[in-house]
Amino acid sequence: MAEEYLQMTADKFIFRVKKNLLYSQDDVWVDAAGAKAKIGVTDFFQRRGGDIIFLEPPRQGDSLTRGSKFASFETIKVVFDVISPVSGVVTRTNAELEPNPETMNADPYGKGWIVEVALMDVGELDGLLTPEAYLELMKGKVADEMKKIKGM
Amino acid sequence: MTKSGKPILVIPCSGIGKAFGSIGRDATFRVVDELRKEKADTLCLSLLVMGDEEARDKVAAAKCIAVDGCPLECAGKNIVRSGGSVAAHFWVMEQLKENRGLKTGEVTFLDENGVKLSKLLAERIARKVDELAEEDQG
Amino acid sequence: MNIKPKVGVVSCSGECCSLGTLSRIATRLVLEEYRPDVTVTICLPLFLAGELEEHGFAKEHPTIAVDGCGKLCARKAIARYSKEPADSVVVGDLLEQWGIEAPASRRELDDDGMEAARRLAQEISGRIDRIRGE
Repeated sequence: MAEEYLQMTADKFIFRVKKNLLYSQDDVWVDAAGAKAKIGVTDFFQRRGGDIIFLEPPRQGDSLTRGSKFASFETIKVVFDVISPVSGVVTRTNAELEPNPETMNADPYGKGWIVEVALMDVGELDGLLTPEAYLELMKGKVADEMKKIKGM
Repeated sequence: MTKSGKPILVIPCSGIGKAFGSIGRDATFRVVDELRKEKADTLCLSLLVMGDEEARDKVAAAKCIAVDGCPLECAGKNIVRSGGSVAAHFWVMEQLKENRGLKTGEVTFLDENGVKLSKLLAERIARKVDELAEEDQG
Repeated sequence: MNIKPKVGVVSCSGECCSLGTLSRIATRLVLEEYRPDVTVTICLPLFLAGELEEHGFAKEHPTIAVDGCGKLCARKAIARYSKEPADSVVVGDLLEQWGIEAPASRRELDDDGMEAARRLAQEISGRIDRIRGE
């Protein structure tokens, strides 16, 4: 399993970045295949948020605009917006998530996916980060966040 | 105690890193020290897992209610691993899902919303204690 | 460059008595107030459930076990599943040494209990400093 991920450790926390995905600066991953993509939040995002209690996902047929909020989730403390890394139309939502949003914490890169999207502009994928580049970005974010999550 | 004399143990995870653990712990104490002190007791989860004989004997002879903070389910899993069985299971996260307005994040000392959640959960656990106490062992 | 490690603080879960509650609160005070930048809390239930991160940290970093009573659940667990803690505190023993009574309630601490918790937190903090060579 270790080969599937890049990872970094901070104190006792291990943050994983799955290989073979693309990433946005807003901590969202994209698994693209042609003009379709599956989207979810990264390990860092779910960890920073804490245990997810509620999720407000988009609905099938909704339009997504790159850079705009497309979902939000609520933890015991705060509400987090999830920013879309691409533009497109939602073709499928993860029915597992609304009754069990904690799945995003347990398996952010697998069963915790949020939506499948028909991409409006495949070229937008070129603006996303490789796993290696996201790992570097994440290191800086982790350093900033450590005090907030140190109690976990 | 159940009708047949089996004790009822309410065992929280007491997770120290999250508010859920503190809420579950607080709710457990409300049940065993106040609401149902004649019927239920608690014991140290760590003592149980570390193999303390007295703790294991107590759990084996009891009906256990696990009170877990989050989906990691440390109390439920460790009770089963230690030879006990879980007669009922409560999750603080589920309590929060049913009470969306009660946001809290305080771990060390419960704030007003944490106390409210604890009290709501304690009432539910207390009712389950009553149910288990009424069960006929035949 | 002399790199000083962070110290893992492991409190017993201590549901059985108020000493466990004191351990827990003193540990949280160390983490939040007294030594927030140099400590990490190891959640004992998670550790006992085999959680990778708790185990990983305890194997690589010094730890201090904070136990309520002589059953030493935290100390024994850390020693058994990672390595011997660098230091160990038994709250019951310290209270006896200081001539302080255990709190009456295991659910919450009164003013005297809070004073005891702060004194314990200071004691633990001093030991952390020694572990880190300060």
